Amino acid sequence: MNRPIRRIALLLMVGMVVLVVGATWHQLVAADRYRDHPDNRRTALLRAGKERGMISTVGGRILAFSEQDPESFRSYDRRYPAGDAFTSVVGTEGSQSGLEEIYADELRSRRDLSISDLMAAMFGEDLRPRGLQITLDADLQQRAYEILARRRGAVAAIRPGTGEVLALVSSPGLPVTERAAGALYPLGSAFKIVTAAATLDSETADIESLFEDRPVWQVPGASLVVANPGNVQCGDSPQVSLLTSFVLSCNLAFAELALEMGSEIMDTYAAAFGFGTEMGFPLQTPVPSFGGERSSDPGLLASAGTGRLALSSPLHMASVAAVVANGGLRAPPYLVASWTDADGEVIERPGTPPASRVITPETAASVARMMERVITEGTGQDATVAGHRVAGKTGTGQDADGRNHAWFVGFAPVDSPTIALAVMIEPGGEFGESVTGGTAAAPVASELLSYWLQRS
Amino acid sequence: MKLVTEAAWVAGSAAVAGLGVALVDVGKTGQVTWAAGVVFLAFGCCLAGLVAALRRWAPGGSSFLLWPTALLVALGLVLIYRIDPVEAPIQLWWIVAGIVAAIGILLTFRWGVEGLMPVGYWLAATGLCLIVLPFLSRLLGGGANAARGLWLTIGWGNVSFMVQPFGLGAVLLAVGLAGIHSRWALESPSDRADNRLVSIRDLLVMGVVWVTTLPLLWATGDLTAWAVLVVLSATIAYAATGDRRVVWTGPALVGIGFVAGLTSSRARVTLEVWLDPFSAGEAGAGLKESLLALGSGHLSGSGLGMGDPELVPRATSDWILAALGEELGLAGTVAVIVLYGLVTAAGVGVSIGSRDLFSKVAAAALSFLLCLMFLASAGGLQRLLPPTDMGLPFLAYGGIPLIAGWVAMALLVRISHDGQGPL
Repeated sequence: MNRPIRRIALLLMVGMVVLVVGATWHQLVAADRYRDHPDNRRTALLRAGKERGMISTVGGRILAFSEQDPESFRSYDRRYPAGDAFTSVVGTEGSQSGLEEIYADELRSRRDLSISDLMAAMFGEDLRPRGLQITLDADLQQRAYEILARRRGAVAAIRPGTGEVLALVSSPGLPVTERAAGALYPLGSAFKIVTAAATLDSETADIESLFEDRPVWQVPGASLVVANPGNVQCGDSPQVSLLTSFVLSCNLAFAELALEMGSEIMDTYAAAFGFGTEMGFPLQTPVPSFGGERSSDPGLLASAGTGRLALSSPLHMASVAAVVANGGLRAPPYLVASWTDADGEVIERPGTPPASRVITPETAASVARMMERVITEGTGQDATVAGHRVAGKTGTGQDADGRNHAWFVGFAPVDSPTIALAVMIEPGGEFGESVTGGTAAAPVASELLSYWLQRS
Repeated sequence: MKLVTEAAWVAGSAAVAGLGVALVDVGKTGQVTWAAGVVFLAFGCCLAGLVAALRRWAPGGSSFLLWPTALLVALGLVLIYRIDPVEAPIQLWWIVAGIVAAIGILLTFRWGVEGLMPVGYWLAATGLCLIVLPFLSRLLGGGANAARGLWLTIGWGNVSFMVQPFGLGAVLLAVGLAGIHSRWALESPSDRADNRLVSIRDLLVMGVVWVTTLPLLWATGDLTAWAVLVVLSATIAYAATGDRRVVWTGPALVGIGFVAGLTSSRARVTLEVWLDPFSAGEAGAGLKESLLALGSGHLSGSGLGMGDPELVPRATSDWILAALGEELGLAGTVAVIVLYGLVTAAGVGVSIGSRDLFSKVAAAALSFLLCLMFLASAGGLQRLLPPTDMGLPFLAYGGIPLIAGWVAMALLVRISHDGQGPL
């Protein structure tokens, strides 16, 4: 009677062997597929409770750090002591944005009690999380955030010579969305900095070149009509100079110049200023465009020359101002200054991309002179800072719904610039629905620049 | 010498339980609590009592059956303590109750288990009744809340708890069927002459089990648990008679039952979950989370107290093997497979060494049952079989499977005494 029993037992043991094979399949061969499955909540949980490195500014302001949870062993809480002004850049633990998300892996502690980590620790390797130092100027960032309070808008400021990002502010700060670098807005006349620089650099015209002064202009070979703001003449004589057109933000001269230069020259200069190219920035940065790329349509090109079709972010426009401030050299903006070990010692300095020449120093000086005149006698008079020479350009860009976006793009002091900035104010808030660069953005720039210039 | 060996495995199993609880505490809070000591003492005392009863009433009994069992129970308790500290003391009480029940079995059958053979019909009938209770509770209007899968909710007023009668029913059924088949096999050959009904009665018993459990399949949709019963009845018939016809009737019954079962919407849901747990929605959550837990465990596991088995629904009962795989890794899973393999092998050894037919078949039946339940539970987790919520004896949370397992162990130990002890 034992034979049937032995047979069944053998069959059952085969079943047990199959289980061992199955377990090996699920826990070894296919294990990673389960572990990294999007439905596996362990990845997020692991990240949430773990110690992560400190994020601070080069100046020493702590923006984010991990604190051991007194209630629960092995669990850490993330703290953000610097407040709302920094959340759009730093992000928060749960949000899917900001440096916290982008550098999640780099900031993570490598201590996970695995065998390999214990071995590494035994040989003296430092498994504590790395710290991240960023270039922001904490006080400027805070001040800009306060100035922007109760308004919808964004500010970006960089150091012209190096490209260090000094401020990157989005208002309102909550819900967290980074808009100073991460969104494009209609630029309007602020793009004329680029058209003017291209004109002078390609020697198509000079500052004093004269253009026929009309309220509107029918673009030859196109159905499009280019008009000055308010459909009026720029000055009161039959001809108007490039300088006056720039200072008073008249459109016709720039439409004519764009047509005269043609799409190839416009494309070259716009690209050199960063339009149509990736910024190479850690935060999400959409690609800015001026609207006339590779265009054979004269109407489109003329319109693009005035800035009507341009889309850009405040960070990118700050870098455009920095080119002028920096004698024609473009130092790409960067945010990550260094990585440190847990003791705060710098262990790595990511290299910054080399500066590239966009325009000649002479062109830059001429554009700077024009931009200074905008402040002293043009549309940007509200950006004046008593006792300091400021250069800038206003802009009022309209989106598809006809809503204005007010811009101020500039730098200071003119003779040795320490800051280049771009202010963008959206409709709504305390300025109401009809904002313009001169009335909404320029005063914000003035407040911010006077804070910066008086401090240094 | 024997005393030393037995003291060693009792202390060893108790130490595994106590140490495991301490490890969980350290992994979770960084500190050891008094729970480790309580578990060590309670577990150790119970096992010592069991060994004492074994020496008193079945001195020839094999303790080789008991130490892998004790290790499995210790491991289960540690995992439950890790996942749900509220359930752990309850489980500890159930362990005590299970061991007391085992001692009671040793006492009751101190003169042998032969008395069970004539009451085989009653045992099998009682077992079947227990097994189909979830179906009956639905039939009698208990509503959807009264049962979930093989679980039953029992409540007085606002106190309610869930029980799973399946395990105990299956143990009774196994012993009962062993009684029925071996009694017939022992009848003299002349009694069977020329009676066609007699010649197929062993197969008919399989048919009866098949027919009576079909409602369970229909009501719960648990294809795997149901198949365990039919396969169990086939293996017992085959072990008792060696009848070749069982070899094709058994699989045929399982196959027909599967097809018939698919008329039930619940069985179809089970099948959907089995085929694709990741897009089966709420019904597939248990299997899906279990697979994610298994994969996250990898080779060596996250370590006790350091994984996230709480993410698996019903991780202490239906999916305890997933929690095991996550925190103790492939190593832990294989260890548990080996332990169940050892228990099965030891049980089959008892059966082969037995001298009378009923003891032999009963021991085989109980060993097969235990092994089949493990294969079903682990196979369901690994998607080799449709998923089941059948409680795993010894490891999973739940009083009835635990008591059923200990009762089976006590019977096996008693039978091993009869086989190997002095006559």
